[in-house]
Amino acid sequence: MSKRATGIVSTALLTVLLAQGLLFALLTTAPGDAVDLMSPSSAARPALEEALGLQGSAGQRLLRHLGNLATGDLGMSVGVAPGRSVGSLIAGPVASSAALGLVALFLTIAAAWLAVVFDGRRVAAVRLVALLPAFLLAHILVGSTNAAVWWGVQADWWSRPAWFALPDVDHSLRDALAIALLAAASGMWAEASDDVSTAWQTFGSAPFVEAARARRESIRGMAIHHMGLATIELAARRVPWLLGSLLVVERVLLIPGAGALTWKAAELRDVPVVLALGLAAATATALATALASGARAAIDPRLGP
Amino acid sequence: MNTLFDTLMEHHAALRPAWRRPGTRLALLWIGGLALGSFAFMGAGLDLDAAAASAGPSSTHPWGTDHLGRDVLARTFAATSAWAGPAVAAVAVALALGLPTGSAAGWSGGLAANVAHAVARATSSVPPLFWVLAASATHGADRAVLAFAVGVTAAPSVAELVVAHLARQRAEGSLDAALAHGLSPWAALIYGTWVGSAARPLAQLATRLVAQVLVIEATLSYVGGGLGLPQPAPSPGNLIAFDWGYPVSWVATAAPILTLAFTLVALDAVANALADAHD
Repeated sequence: MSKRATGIVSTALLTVLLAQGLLFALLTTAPGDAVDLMSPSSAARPALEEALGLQGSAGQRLLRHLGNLATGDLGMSVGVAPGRSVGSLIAGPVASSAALGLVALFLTIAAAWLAVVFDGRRVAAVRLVALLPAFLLAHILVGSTNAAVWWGVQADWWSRPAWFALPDVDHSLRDALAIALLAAASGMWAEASDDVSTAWQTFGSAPFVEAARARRESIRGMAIHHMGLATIELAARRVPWLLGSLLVVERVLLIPGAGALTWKAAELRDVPVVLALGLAAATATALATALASGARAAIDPRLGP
Repeated sequence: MNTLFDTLMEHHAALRPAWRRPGTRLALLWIGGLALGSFAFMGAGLDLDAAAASAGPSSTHPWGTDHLGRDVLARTFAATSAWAGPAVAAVAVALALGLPTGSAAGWSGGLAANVAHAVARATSSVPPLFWVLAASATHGADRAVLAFAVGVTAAPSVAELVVAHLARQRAEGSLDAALAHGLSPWAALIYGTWVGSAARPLAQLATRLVAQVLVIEATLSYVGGGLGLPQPAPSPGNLIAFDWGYPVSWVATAAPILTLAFTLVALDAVANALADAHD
């Protein structure tokens, strides 16, 4: 492995480990623990503490936790599904959220490019709406759709559709709405289109582009290289935002993914599940950043091996 | 040597073109009106009135009433206190933790600056709402926990910003020049960085943090589940969720939504004005 690749991988690993350590510190500084929630007798407490890995100081527990992570052991749920392995509990929701998030990310990038192509001023009003938080846009869209459909049903304009009423029915329309919200709300699309616009302007005014134009050479190859890299990097920067929106959209639209599971785990004080979902979030961000850094290292000849 | 007054006047002059924009003025006017309204309606809008339930706009209730007969105008303005207090506290925590650690790391440079950068990268790899949910899971769903969680997780970004400014000042030679002119390290740090070159980016970061607290608080209160502010206390989120499915007037339905939207757009306009002045 080259020196640069080693640096990218170690930075990603360090980011994930630090995020997990900080999350662990935040969760263990609170008074009480999972055993308190079970209200056991004093005789049963040591056995429960051992079973849940709660014995020892916070430092010892952190080291033990990181050691368990290295072997792929995420612990045992204490609230959402008591006694069940956290790994098996979160695998399905994380996979479905990842699929939802990836589709939304592609949509964000495509819409950001369209906004730049079709002149940013024309979409200024849409941009303003897209600054609104995900829960508010979801509330407005779901409320107005339900009201309009119900109005039409009462007026005998159409029969009650299979997906009515949102978000209670598990339907592909609900998933499509979730993807649209993830792609646009909370400034996701607005910031992405700003980034694409800035990258395009920077490219257009770069000296090497002006020189190529002066020599009447084609700049298509340069544009693909430059804007392709800029697009990968802006997609990587959007990942934490997307994860934040996933938390909200899945909860508000009742979609059973990692975001909805996070709320449930937080409400039930299920620390191992919260830690595992935090690990998944940090890994997703670190992976996206590492991919973007890898792409830059591969494309930009100035960086070397 | 520049006095604090001179430094503030320089900022004022740099910000003047941005403040002159009608959009920025409107945004400041809206934020000021919201602050005044929240004081005027503090603790109001809690009285139930079954006779006035779901009423439309009138002289007694300009924005109508909710389905329990409570005044929507009073509750919408009173809801400002649900997020404004935690927002100010979050900014204070972020600055109180971020400024000294960032200054120490930036001053010594090298490994300390790299550690500050790594911690900032680690905290921003997880969404702020996740940190708040994690904190609420163990420390309880409380306004103070919300403020503390957002403040603590934003502190590394503050620190990273200070580190970057100190590194730039060192590279430009302005830090060494200030020290050579007899300025104490503290004076160079405070005048040169905190209220000097980093002041506008810090103010922009603080404005974004205020908007972030507003969004997180409203989201938690909208979703409910014991993690947000429960009724009858008003919050932007629970006001929007509360009348869901009830036949209240469209003004009463739209007022909390538009108030939240305008506030977010106003905060975004102020942050953009600070960014433009910085550029």
